[in-house]
Amino acid sequence: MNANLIVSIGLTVLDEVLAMIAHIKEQGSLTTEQIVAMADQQDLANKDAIKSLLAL
Amino acid sequence: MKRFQSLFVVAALFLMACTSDPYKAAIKGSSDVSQAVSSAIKITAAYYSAGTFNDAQKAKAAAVFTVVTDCNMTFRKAVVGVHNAGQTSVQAFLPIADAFVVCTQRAPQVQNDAKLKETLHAVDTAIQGVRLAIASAKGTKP
Repeated sequence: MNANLIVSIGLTVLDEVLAMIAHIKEQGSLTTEQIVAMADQQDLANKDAIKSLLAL
Repeated sequence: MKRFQSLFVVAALFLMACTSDPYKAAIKGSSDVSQAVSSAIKITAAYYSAGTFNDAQKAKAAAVFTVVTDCNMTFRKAVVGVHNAGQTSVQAFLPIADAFVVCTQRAPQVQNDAKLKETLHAVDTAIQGVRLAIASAKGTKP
């Protein structure tokens, strides 16, 4: 694996760690019903992302 | 890096458990699983594009993501149902969390693939953490 790919994967993982931190912070300011709606949307987005992953 | 993700999930679960009722703890845990799956999909795509994962590994990961997402949606629907039925005790929510964990075990096993196992580690941590968060929540007596 070349250096560019290693950097690219490292940045992807870092992005996702930051996304998890943002997710935790965001939850603190939402009502339970808002978190339900957010999770419903995320699951639908995940289903689309799984289809895109399989199409790669 | 992926271990940091797991650490954040665990930290979030402990923080929520200290302050939440079991309904909110269950919903936050479910939301954390959704977020962990989202991150794992992106990391899997990056690994596949870099040639670290082959077609079979990508397909296996996608199968795991599909099962976990379906189980998580069912789990959240059941949690909302119990809440709407007026139940507020920790014991009312624990069986649903147990059913969620059992449901996710239908996913293909990745124990023999270290790379795949590591990529899915944060998702597994989030799933296991849901029950812990509910059990640690401040519910009413049944």
